[in-house]
This record gives sequence, structure tokens and C-alpha cells, in this order.
Amino acid sequence: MAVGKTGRRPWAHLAGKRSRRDVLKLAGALGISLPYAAFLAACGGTEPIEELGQSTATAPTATSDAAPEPSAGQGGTISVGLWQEPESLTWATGGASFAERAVLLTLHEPLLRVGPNNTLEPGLLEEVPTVENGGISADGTVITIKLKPNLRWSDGEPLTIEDYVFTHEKVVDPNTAATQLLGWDKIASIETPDELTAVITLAEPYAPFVNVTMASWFGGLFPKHILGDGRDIRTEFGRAPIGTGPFKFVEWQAGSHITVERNEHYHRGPAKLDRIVFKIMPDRNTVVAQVKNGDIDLAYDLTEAQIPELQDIEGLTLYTTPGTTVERYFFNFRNPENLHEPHPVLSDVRVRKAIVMAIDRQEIVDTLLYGRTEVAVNELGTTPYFNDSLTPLPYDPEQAKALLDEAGWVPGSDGIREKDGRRLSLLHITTAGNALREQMQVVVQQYLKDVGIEMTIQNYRPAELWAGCDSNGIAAQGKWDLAGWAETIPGIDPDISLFWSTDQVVDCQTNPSGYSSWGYSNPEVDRLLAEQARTIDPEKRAEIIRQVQQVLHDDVNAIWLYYRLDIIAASSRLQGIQPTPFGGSFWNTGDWFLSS
Amino acid sequence: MADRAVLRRAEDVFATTQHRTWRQLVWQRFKRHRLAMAALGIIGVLLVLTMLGPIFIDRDRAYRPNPRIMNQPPSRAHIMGTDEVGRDIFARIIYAGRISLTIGLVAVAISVGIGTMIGALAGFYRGWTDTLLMRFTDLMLSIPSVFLLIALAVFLGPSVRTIIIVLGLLSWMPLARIIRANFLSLREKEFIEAARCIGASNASLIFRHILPNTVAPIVVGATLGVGTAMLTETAVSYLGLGVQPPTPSWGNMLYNAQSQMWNAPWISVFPGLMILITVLCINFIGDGLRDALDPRAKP
Amino acid sequence: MVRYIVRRLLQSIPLLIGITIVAFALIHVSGDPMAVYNNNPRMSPEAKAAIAAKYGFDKPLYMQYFVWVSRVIQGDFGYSFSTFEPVSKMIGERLPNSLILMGAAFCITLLVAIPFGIYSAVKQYSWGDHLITGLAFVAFALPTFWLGLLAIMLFSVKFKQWGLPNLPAGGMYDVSVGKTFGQVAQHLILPASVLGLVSAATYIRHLRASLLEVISQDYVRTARAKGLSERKVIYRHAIKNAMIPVVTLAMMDIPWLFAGALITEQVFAWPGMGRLFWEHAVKVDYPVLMGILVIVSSLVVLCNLLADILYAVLDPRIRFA
Repeated sequence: MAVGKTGRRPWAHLAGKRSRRDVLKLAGALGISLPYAAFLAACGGTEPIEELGQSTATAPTATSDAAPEPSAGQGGTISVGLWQEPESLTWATGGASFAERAVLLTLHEPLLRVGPNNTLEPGLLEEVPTVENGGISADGTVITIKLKPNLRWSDGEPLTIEDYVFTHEKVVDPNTAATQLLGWDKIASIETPDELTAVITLAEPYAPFVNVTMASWFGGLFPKHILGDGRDIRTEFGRAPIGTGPFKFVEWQAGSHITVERNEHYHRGPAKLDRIVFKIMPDRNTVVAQVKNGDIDLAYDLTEAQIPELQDIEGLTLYTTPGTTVERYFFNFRNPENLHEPHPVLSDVRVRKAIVMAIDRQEIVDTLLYGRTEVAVNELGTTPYFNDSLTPLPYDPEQAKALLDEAGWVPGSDGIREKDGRRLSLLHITTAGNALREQMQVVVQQYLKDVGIEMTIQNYRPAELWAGCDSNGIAAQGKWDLAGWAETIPGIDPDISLFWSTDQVVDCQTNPSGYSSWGYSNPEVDRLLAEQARTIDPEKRAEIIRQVQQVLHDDVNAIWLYYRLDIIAASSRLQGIQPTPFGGSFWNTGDWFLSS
Repeated sequence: MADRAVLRRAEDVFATTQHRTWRQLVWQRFKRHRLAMAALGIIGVLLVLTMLGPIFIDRDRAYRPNPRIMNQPPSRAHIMGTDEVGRDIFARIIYAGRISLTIGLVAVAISVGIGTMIGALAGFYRGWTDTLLMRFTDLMLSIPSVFLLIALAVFLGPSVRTIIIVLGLLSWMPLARIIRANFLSLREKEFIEAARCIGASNASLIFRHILPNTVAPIVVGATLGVGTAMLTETAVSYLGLGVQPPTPSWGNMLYNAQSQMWNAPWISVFPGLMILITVLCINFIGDGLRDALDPRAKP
Repeated sequence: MVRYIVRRLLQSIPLLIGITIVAFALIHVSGDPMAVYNNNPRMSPEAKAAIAAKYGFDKPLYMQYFVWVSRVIQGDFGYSFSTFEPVSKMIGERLPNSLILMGAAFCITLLVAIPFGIYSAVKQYSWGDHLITGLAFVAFALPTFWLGLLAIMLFSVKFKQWGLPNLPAGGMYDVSVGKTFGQVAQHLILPASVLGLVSAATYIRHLRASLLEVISQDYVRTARAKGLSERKVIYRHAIKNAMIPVVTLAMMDIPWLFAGALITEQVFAWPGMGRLFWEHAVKVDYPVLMGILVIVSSLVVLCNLLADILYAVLDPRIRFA
């Protein structure tokens, strides 16, 4: 079960066309044992949407649903190095950092969890609600969920549907100041016919509902018997939570560590490990030194630059999994001088295309990222919703030059192109202090210079970059031409309206809370995005999502760089880790064990 | 630099009374400090290299990335190896040296100027002047420099000039306090009372009589200050607030090399050594100067 | 003297108010606490507005300041915007850790700097002087984070590979053993040494410089002339005056014992105040930042006063007006 070991390129085929053979490879890369991979390939790797939409209760995964047999050699404590400290151990109020998600997944079993190959599988729920099994009504406004019987909180109290109702109350309560409201605010009412069942009525059809409110690290519940007394969810509960996961909370020493230990009431049976200690070490080099030294057993959320020093080390396994976070450069579609006008340079699709084709993204991946990931096509490229007829635009500087010539940009005296007295000079901004982004920035600067485009650089700290309109937010005020950072699709749902629909475009006067500071607007895209959100049938919805991707791709909506890696270095003694693009690496900590 | 100004004034004081000029005397004393002489030589070479080097070394070698040859160990083609995006480290060291040395020297000039002025005025005039200036010093000492750095960077834009100004504005306070303490103590001395009796003006008392006697802490402060400024530049780089790419400085080179520290050590070793050598040499020079400038030391 | 102290204490009140106003404004300029929400794809505009209203970001800056001040006067430092914990509790958790680290480093500094500084001045230009000067300079000339990482590399990674007794690379204690004295001491060695040695260089330089100056003064010459032994001259007469700049330095360092050492704490994963400050500075979490600031600046003011009083004790010629 060597998973994505050193020297291999586990993801080589995922972004391209997916054949059955490729699914096998993917499965191998994800650490799924071969018979199961063959099964997956057999049940339709070309229609991945089915796997996500339907329950996989009948398709036991390699280890997750197998009853954990207590056997000799179990137990033990592992320590995990995190370089960030979680803000709060409830999904609703935290900062959603990678570190926080990791700890949350050990403490809170979600309603639905994301298993290998991005499949949704039941967590606390009996089955995944779908239209076929009656969990979702045909019009998409009524969702019925049923909890597994005899569930218990880690303190031994029974878990009932009242806890779900309570969770909804808490999340939408303004006093909670939830940071993860998405989907919950669509709920009109909840009825509970019995103590395990809830019938949720939505105000309007909202196809992403199940995906964005029930699965993964944000799918946990809040215990009514603890929080019902009105105690503060963020402080008292968020610093010492009661959950339903394979582990239960023991202590949190600020700045030092968080300890969790086996939850005897875990519904899949007790975890194999006794205890996990999350050590907080803010300098990633110290984390690396410690994992190499054997002082910690697992280092999480490392950077690509650390790959060479962690590969080929005896006793250490390196897992690199491309996730749903995609690095990209946004084009500013609006004129930085006057946001009501289109961008004088970048609104021309030929220029956008030329810019993308001038950048050798494959070389960036092969060198700066050590060939561990893939050139990205769009933000859905690692998901089952990907339109796999799309391929990245090729690196072709000659054609890039031809396109620029065609668009009227001709080389001036210093080699930089000009048109109507305007130099082809673009301002690129990114987050200051992110070494990899800064390296990539100078590499791209050179590529663009080679085709006659000048790229100037100005970087900002996140608190400045994403500040609101009132605080002179750099991104929001649109004073840039190209902007580089990563975005993640919300939850595990393919709804990308947030990034590309017109009603999300930031306008400091009329829509200061919009998301899209890059100002993309395309009526065709708007229509399709609105339609997919109303389309309950998973097949039809997936089809629309694929269409949107085609339209956006043809329109060269962004410079897609690469799928960001989820990088783990773990002691080879630690087994059972199965990283998945959607579910991350900590979805099955109950199955982790130490081999002797 | 401020040292020179001080030196010249001290020269006036002593030139009349000494057989040799003050300058000659200091130089003669300084020469005996072999470590300082060696350091002066090294700094001289470094200054020439970094100031003239860019004429001979193609800018592209320092700036043009080539990821195909990244993280290569020292070789004949790249005598210090290549960095994390495939630029020649030697060329970058030369280009960065200009920036780093400028930052160190100019920031200290600002800091010594302000520190000496405020310390001297506060210590000499005492009373309300002292209270106001020292409370202002306290205020500057109490506000975490990170915020001044960030706030000024927001106003002035993150540039080398901003970093110089910020480092200068943030480092004068200890010197001001030390100078003030010396002034408080010196102004009570007999020779000052004597000078006052013969009608010396306040300016003359401050600059001609007291200041030359407090040259030692100024010189020590200034030399350690150059080192501190260069090290602070490195530290702010560690926090991502330093000189912004693609402009190289020794500090941001060292910071960017961090993640490759164990597997490509040359990327961090060379800028680290440059900082070490420069700071070391500057401090040895300061040490030698201190000994040489001491008006009471035997010739 | 008493009048002087009372006056200085009274003067410090407007000073502290000034510090908080300047700092509050600077923090505001440095960024927007809402930035983290603006970049969160799971936040609707309504949810963002609700959070802004809850924390008062929608109010004008001076109102936010007055709300903060009126709470602080009542002894309430408020709650963090990111962890939602009471600021006093967060500081309470970190302060002892920082004091342990900084206290140990301070002791190392003084233990190293005083004897070596004196030796270096008394035996000017001897081999010992050069060696001490050289080593102090080297420690001082290395960037802290680099020195720290090199120390980890050598004493913890390489020593382990070579089978030598090795030191832990980071953290405050081994969680499986617990927060025992031995554990903390073991984890303290590397960061405290790095911090201590780096600042020892400064102290050695100042002490040496100031002692050399004092030694050449008339009263020391007189002491020598009347036949006192060199030892007595140095220890009875010269040191007291030579200590003035060192005391200044030490006094001004004391507040920073409470502020912690950001970079060393980062590199060695020490859960101290420096990291608390930086982690929340990045998030523009002003209740936490202002809380730390009030503590540190009060100490700065207090220690400066103490330094001034100590001058008077050490140098009786200084009078207080």
C-alpha cells in the first residue's frame, strides 16, 4: 500500500482524459487496494458523477467500512506537526485552515464523509440522500435525512435528530457569527417525524445543499445537551468540543499542542491509535527537521519546496495529493482606472490567450513543483465534475506573439509591445511572504517578457490584499491587472457561481460584499450557472457544469497554473493514510495504525 | 556619515593643542588594531565589488530565472551555485550587496543623527525638553516596530527606500537614551562648568565640549547599528515584510533559501556568510575606531 | 526623589494614552480584520455584514477606540476576533512561557557578558580579548532565524544521526512526558542559548567600551597612583561607573522579556508572547494586539523610570530636577 511514494507521479493522468486504465492508476495513487480499484473502474470511471451522487454503502472501501478488528500491535500515540494553530474547533466559527480541518476531522464525524475517489459515503447518516432513494424530492426543495441508530457523543450521551435541529439553530443564530453559513441559510423549516429523521424544507431548490452542508470537515453536529444551556459555542465549546469522531478532545495548550484520544463511543468502532498529539510549530523548517528526526510521526500541510528534502528518506513516506485548491492568476476584466469600463488590454480574448500560451506551465510544474502535480485546466479539474474534453492551452510562444500581433500589439523600441501609444505593461499582485508564489511570479515575468509583455510586481499582505472596500482593499478596488492566489470550490460542490457569475462582481458602491474582484461577466455563463443551481437531477446538473466549463475555457477566463498539493510526510510505520482530493487526508484517522 | 562629522569637530578641539593633527593621531591608533585594519580591507573589497560588480556582471545573471537549472550546487559555470529559480547566486550576491549595504549604512546614518540629536538635547537642557523628548522616545520604544513598518509600507509603498527610512526611524531610541545619560553625567563635570564660566554658548557646550567626550557610545552604537540594521532587514524578510522580489537583498535571499536549507545549503550559506562577514567587519572597525577615538587613550 | 517619581508616574498616563491612540491607528492602517472573511467562499454578504456589526467594524474608528478604552478602564481587554477567547486569558497562557524563555536568555546574557566584558576590557588586545570579541561578534552577526535553524540542524538532527545525546528541536516539553521541570529545561537550552548569546554580544561591546573609558579617567589613575591593586581599582572603583550604560541597556530590555522573542519562538515552536503577537498581527486582531501593547508599554515606561533612578544611585552627581 505504498501511496504516492517518492519518485512517482501519482497524478500524471488525472487531469487528462480519464480511461478505465487511468482510474486504476488513480486508485493506485490514492492507495486503494487493487481489487477495489478494479471494481471502481468496472462501475464506470467515465461517469464519475454517479459515484459522487449515490451512496456507496454497497461498495465497501479498502479499509474504511471494514470493521476494525481489534488485534495485537494496536494502540500507540502519534504526533502530528501543524504549522498553523486552529482558531476554533467547531467548523462553523473557525478559520477553515488546513490545520483546523485536520483536527476537526478527528473530532467530528460528518453527516457524510468523502471517501477514496471522491465518493460520498454515509457518516452519521444512514445513507446519502438522493432523488432515487427519496432523500431528495423531485423538485429539490425537500431533503429527508435519517441518522444511524444508537449514535453517541464522545461523552456517552445519545445523539438524536434534535442535535441536527439544534445545529441549524446555532449556525444561523447571528450571535454565533458563523463563518460557514453556506447552504444553511436556505433552510425554511425542519420537521422531525421521529427521533432519527429530519425533513428539511428549503426556501427554493438549491442543488448544492447536501454537498455544502453535510459532507467533509463542515458536516459535523453540535451537541444540544452541552450547548443547550446557552454557553458560548466559540469559546467554551470551540476550545473543548464534544464530538462524534474517532477521537475525542483531551486538551489544547495554546501555541503548543492539541491532544485527542480514542473515542470509545465512535460508531465505526474504536480507533486503532490511542492518541494523536497535534504539535503546533510555526516554522515549517522546524516541522521538517522534526519529522526527519522522528520527533513527530507526521508533518502536514508542507510546501512543494520541501519535497526534495523529504523524498528518498528511509523510514519516511511522502504523500502528495492534488486537491481542490487551484493556483491561478486572475485577469482583471475591468479597467483599473475606471471599473465601469472593460479592461483596455485584457478584455481582448486574444491577449488573454496569448498570455496563457506564453507561459510554460508544464515547465513550472516540472521544476518548481518537482513534477508532483499537473497543469490545471480549471477549478474542477480534480473533481468528478470535470469536463475531461478540456485540455490546458499549450505552451507556444510563437503563436502567442502572432496573437498579440493580430490584436494590434506590436513590439516597440525596447522590445515591449505597444498599441495606440500604450505600452503592454501589466501589474501583477500576489500575497507577500509566500515564497513559492513569489518564485513563480518572477518566472512568469520572464516568460511574458520573452513575448514582449512587461509585467511589474507589487505584493501585498493578505490583510491588505483582501481588505474590504472601506479599508482600501487592494483586490476589491481592482487596482491591478493580474492577481495570483488560490481558490477552493466551496465544500465538495461544483457550484462555481461565486467565481464567475455577474452578481458576485464586487462594486464598492453597489455590491461591496461580492466575491469576484476580477469582475468576470458573461451572460451565457450566468444563465448556465443559475440553471445548475436549480437542477436537482445529478446527471443533468453535471452536464450543465460541463457546459459552463467549456464556455469559460473558450473565453480564457483565467491563467490556470496547477492543482495545489496536499503534502504529508509521515513515518512509514504509520499506516492507513489514504489522501483524497476532496476529503483531504484526515477523513479516516480511525483506521490509522502503527505497524511494528 | 555622522562619525565623520563628529570626528571633524573633535579635530577642531584638539588640533590646537596637539602636535599632530587629531586625524593623524586617530589613524595612527587605529592602525595598531590589526583586526580592525583587516576588517577595513575586507569591507573595502566588498564595497568595490558590490558597487562596481554590476558593471561587469550581466543583470540577467542575477535576475533572469531559469527553473531548469534551479538548486544546482556550485560549479564552474555558477561558482556559488544557482538559487531556487535558477539564478546565479554569485551575481545575486553582488547585486544584493549594493542594496543591503545601502540599507545598513543609510539607515544608521538616519538613526545616529536622530538619536544623537534627541539624546543630546534631552540630556543637556533637562526639564521639560527632557521630559517631552524622553516620553516621545518611550512612545517609540513601546510601539511594536512591526506596525510602524507595516503602516509606513502602506503609506510609502513597499520599497527599499521605505525599509531604509523605517529601519532608521525605529532604531535611534537606545542610542538617544545612552547619549542622554552621558550628557546628564558630563554636563555636571568640572570642565563643562569651566567652559560655561568663560561664556561658552549652549551650542558650543553641546557640540564642542560634551559631544566629543561621548564619541565612544556613538561609535559603538553606530557600528553595531549597521550590523543591526542589516540583521533587522533579514528579520523582516523572515516575516515577509522585507525587500520585495525580484530585487535581491542578502536578507531576502537568506529567507527565500530557508525551505532549501537542508538539501541545497549553498543557497542559504552564501548570503548568510555575506551578512556574517559584513557585520563582523563593520563591528571590528567600530571597535578599532572606539579605541582610536578615545581622547584619553595614550597615543 | 519621591516627588520626582510621582511626577514621572503622572506623566506616564498621557504617554500611555498617546501610545494606545497611535498604536490603534497604526493597526487599523496595517490591514482589515474582515480580510479573512472576504476571502472565504462560504461567507454570504449578509453573513459578512453580521460579523462586521457584531465586532463593531462598521462603526467609525474613533468609536471603536472609545469602546475599547472604556472596556480596558474596567479591566476588560475584550475578546479576540479569531479565537474568541478573552484576551486576558490568552495573554495569561503565554506570558509565563515567554518569561521562562526570556528570563533564561537574560541570565545567559548577563552571565556571559559581565565576566567576558570585564576581561576583554582589562586585557585589551590580548588573545583572550580577541577571541571573546570575535565569538561575540560572530554570534551577533548571524541572523537569528538562521542561527536557530543551524542549531537545530546540528544539535538535534545531526547529533541524533551521529548517535550523540541530542537536544529537542522545538516545543516546550514532550507531551507524552508532561510539563516537568526537566523537560522544560531540556527544551529551553537551544532557544535560550541562541537568544542569550546574540544579545550577549551587545552587552560585551558596551561593557568593554564603557569600562575602557572609565579606566582611563583621572580618578582611576588616582586610585592606581595611591597604590591600590589592579583588582581593587577595577572592582571597587571602575566597574560601578562602567555599569551605567549596561544598566540602561538591561533596563530597557526588561519589558521585552514580557513581549517575547518573535523569531526565536517561531523557529523553536516556543508558545510565547512574540508568536501570539505575530499570529494576531497578521489577522489584524486588535483586542489581542492592544492587550499585549498595553502591558509592554506600561513596562517600558516603568523600566525607563527605574533606569533613571538607578543612574542616580550609580552616579550621585546626577540630580533630579
